[in-house]
Amino acid sequence: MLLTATRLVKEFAGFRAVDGVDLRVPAGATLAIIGPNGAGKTTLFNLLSGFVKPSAGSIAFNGNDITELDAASVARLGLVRSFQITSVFPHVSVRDNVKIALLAKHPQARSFWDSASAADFLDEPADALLDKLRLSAHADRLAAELPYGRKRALELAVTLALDPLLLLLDEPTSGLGTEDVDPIIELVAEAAQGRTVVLVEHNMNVVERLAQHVVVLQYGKVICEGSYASVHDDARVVEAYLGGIDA
Amino acid sequence: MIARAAALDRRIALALALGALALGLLLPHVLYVGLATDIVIWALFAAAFDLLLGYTGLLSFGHAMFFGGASYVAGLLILRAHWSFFPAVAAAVLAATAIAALVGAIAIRRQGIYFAMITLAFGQMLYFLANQFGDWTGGQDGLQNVQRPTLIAGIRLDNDTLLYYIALAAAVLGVASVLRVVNSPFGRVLSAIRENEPRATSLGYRTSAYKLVAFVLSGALAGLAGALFVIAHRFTSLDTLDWHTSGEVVIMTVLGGIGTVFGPLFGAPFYLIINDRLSTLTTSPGLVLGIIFIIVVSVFRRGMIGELVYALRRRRHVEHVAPGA
Ligand SMILES: Nc1ncnc2c1ncn2[C@@H]1O[C@H](COP(=O)(O)OP(=O)(O)OP(=O)(O)O)[C@@H](O)[C@H]1O
Ligand SMILES: [Mg+2]
Repeated sequence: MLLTATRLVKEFAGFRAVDGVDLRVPAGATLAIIGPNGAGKTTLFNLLSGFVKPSAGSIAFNGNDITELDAASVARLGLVRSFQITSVFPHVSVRDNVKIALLAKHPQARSFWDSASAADFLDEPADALLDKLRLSAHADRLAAELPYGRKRALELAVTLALDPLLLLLDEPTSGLGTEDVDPIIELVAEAAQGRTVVLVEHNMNVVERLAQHVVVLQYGKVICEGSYASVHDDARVVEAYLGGIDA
Repeated sequence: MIARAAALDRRIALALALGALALGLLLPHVLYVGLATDIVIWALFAAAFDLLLGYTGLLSFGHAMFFGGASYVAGLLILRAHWSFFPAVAAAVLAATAIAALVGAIAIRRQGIYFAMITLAFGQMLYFLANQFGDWTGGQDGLQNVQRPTLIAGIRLDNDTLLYYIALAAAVLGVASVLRVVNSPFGRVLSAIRENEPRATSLGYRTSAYKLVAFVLSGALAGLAGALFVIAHRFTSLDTLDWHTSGEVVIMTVLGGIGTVFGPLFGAPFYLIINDRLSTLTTSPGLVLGIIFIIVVSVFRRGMIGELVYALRRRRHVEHVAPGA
């Protein structure tokens, strides 16, 4: 297992947002976490990525116990997350957003006595990544000026720039029009080649196309898991979504 | 386009740098040299402060501890041990660096008002200590009659005009260091952290370490300003350690423009010249200064230089968009 979470609990002032979740993610798999609003999906991501410390339980990643590790160190081990609400560096150009992400792996990030051109060697990989995410035309604009769909793509680009072992994607297609969803699916599918991906997703079409394994969360608990087909037909899941999942 | 924006930014930066330098060379001819020297010293102090406030978003309310602390260290070494200029200044800067490392290690994880309060508390603590150890610091009297040190063998810095240009040279070096740091890859990471710290963390940046380095560099350069202060005035006192001093450097930086480096270079003379003129005209310059501060900050929300840079960038943007529109 690349990632194993054991009996994970997160309590906010007595309220259990995540309530005894067990999660096992084998290397190379693409796994989806679904569940109604407020089920605890983002909180689970916050726990796995070290942004929030669990109230109980443990997390192991790639042979390390990361339960108490800080978020930056978790990222350095290769477990990198994206954000549900687009989170980029707004007053920095699109290219520089990606360059800052790429720079994180290089010692130049710490050199305060170097000219800016010390990071020029990242121009080429940054442009390659922008090209892949169809952001080249926007490379020189400020991230804040991007249309929403492109911002979601940049969110993904910044995350992929770290070439993570495990990618946690929090609703990569949230708020996107149908025409923007397909390219993101392709990108995630491509990124998932030779990589492990866990994604939270409300769009069942996306889940069906990407995930081999689906975990359903409700009230902080895993209520069922399995293949997309088995989960889709599970009465508890239909019940959880009240009205059912329309795929 | 970014090449163009960067080129424009470079042109603006070059123009501001030349403007500041011209001002520096002009000052001793239009003002009395003591005031001119003060302006140069405070401009350096404020630029150092802007490295922290403008590029990490951290508002320190205790920067007097570096400025005042360094002034006492340099003052004591010159007064008691007759050290010459360079070693005394270097030792004072090292002392400020050490204080910044110590205080920063404790304060840097705090945010916003908590960071301001904890730095204020440390600043007051140093003030208290300086007051307590009167045998060394002169207590309420401060360090009096600090003779001017020798610059190099044989040349004593007795000439005020010579000292002015030495201070100017030190300030130019200090400000150039700030510019070098904010434009380095490290400076880019700092900006990223200021813009969106959780995102920077998610990319694996240990953001506290970056902020601590900025804090220490800022403290070291504030110390350089403090060392120059005691040499120029031939004395230092508890006033240099007072929270009022920390407040003044905030005001100069805000007046000039946060996050511009050059803004404080113009904010300092603006503040000090008005203060100087007012003290001959009124018995309560603080009140009038306060009112002027409120007016300037309401009219120029980005500070004077900040507003200028913003306007120039906007014009570029409009020119660029208009023909195609
Ligand atoms: N920091 C916090 N303090 C208190 N309560 C919180 C906090 N973060 C999340 N919660 C609560 O925990 C529950 C789970 O929230 P979470 O954001 O994990 O849900 P989610 O499954 O991601 O929902 P969505 O599909 O809307 O994104 C919610 O009831 C939320 O209000
Ligand atoms: Mg969520």
